[in-house]
Amino acid sequence: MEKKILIVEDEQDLREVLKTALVEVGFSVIIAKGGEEVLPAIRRERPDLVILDIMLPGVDGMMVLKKIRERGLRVPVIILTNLSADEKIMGGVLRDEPSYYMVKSDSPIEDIIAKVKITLGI
Amino acid sequence: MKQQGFDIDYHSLFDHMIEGCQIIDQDFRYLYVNEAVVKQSRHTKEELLGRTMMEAYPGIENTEMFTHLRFCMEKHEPQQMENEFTFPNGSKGWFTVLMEPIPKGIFVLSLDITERKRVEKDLEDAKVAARNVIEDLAEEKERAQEFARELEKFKLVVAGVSEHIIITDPDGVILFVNPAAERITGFTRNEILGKKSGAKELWGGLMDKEFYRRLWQTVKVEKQSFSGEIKNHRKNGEEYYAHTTISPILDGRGEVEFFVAIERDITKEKEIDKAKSEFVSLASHQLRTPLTTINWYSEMLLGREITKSIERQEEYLEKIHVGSQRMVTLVNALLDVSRIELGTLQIELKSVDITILLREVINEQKLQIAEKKIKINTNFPEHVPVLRTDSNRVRMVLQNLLANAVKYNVPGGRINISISSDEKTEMFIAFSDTGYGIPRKDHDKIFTKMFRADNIKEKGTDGTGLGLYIVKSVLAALGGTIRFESEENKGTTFFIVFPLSK
Repeated sequence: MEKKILIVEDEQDLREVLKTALVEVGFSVIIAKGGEEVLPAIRRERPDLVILDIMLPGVDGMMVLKKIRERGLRVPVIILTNLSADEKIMGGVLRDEPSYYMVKSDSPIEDIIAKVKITLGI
Repeated sequence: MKQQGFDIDYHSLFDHMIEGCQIIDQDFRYLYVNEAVVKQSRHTKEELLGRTMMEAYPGIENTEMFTHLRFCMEKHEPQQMENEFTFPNGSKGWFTVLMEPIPKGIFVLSLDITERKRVEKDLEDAKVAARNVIEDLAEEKERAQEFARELEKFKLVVAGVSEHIIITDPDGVILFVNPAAERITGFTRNEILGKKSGAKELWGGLMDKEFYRRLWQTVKVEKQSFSGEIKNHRKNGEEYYAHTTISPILDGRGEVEFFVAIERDITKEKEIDKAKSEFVSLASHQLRTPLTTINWYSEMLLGREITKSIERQEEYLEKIHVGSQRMVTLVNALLDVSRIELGTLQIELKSVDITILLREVINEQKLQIAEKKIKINTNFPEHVPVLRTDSNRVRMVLQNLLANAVKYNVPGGRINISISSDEKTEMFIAFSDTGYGIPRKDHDKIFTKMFRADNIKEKGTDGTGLGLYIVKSVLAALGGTIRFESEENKGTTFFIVFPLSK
């Protein structure tokens, strides 16, 4: 069965390119445009992995991740952001967390796909 | 010596006179001298009587007094003179000498006036001194006037400069303040004078203790000039940045007599610096998304993992093209923002027919309008006053507003553009759309740089967040204004007002 990935991204162009790439390599993709849509989407669609942007309108990505874990959801998360990896920004959330942290402009699309596959054990 | 009728002892009489009395014969030989002569002459009676004047005073024949004596002797005319006489021992004395010819000789009456002469001389000296003092005073007055004139010039210069200048005593108590300091700080002269420089009640107190300690150490202890950037506050509480230079003025003994502090308000420069760095961060942030998009699509074209059917390749190329177009738009908008913020936006006034301009702008965007099946309705009166403005800048404003009305409209929606004017002072242009509208909570933010309302972001429309900021700033530079009315899911109307020049 093909794995399902939830992309949380407010920039339409980036959502599109990520979706295109992931669909091309055989994943099924669902979309959330803002922080509020994430929890309902996880409950409804049961994705195998979440690609999460940090700078989102309304509820930001870090708050979303905190809420996901508070609800006891163990879905793996790849944080894909423009912010640089900074302990202060991460606030320690990632320490015992099955997640990756990637900076958009530093990450080739194939690295992102590779990371998705590793996380899903493919 | 006796005279008939009186029994007078002439010797005794003469001897009691303070005037010297002497009788000399034709050979200038002393026949008689009284006691006063003895006192005046520094000779005893014996040394004089029977001897000639030339014997008693060698060289006397060359004196002016002797000339008078000889004249008196030869012409038998009385003589009177004041004479400074030099005695053989070198001492001098002043005498009034009266020479009275008598048969075969001269009766000489002499009065010692040395003391009177001395007093006279002192008096003369005093007069000279007084005259000198008066002259000195006049010079002093002249110098003081010159100094006052110089000071006046100095004050004019100090009053004219835009730098804040104060002069304090060695404890920092303010003695002088120039008008620029009043202007910059907002405090009046009277509020400033007599207070301590850097005091909280004035403009100071915002820097940490270490800064003030270092400042005083430099100017007071090391007696060196201090320069630095300082944060102050104006009387109204507003904070400002100044570049300050404080110099000690030393007296003759090398002690601090005054401090002169010159400050330049650099708040504006700081703001420009901030705008510059904000611009860099804004530019890099805004450009990242299209750059990342272009990167990922081109990687997909070049990589091995992702399928590359011809259709797919064309699609990716199309996306790359859209991304780079977006970057061009963005870079142009960012350049406009930078011109606005650095104050280098050029305004070139020309006569502008706004209806022609609007029709051109509508024509430019007819593709986008047609694509969304939007109906444009224009309401332009036959006669529209000519605007005196910058046509390129106005075009920029109209392009932005029309693009927004299209972009944030529903497919098949309407746009209404109308022009009206009071023919005298103002012209109004209204852009109405039937689009998504602006959420009430965002009404006060939409002209803010980089702001995009959540509802349009969720709709997936692209935008820089710069358009309305540019519109408002450009309009302000042209003397115009903008306001809007909006209701979410019903639409928005922007109203522009342009001033009409007479």
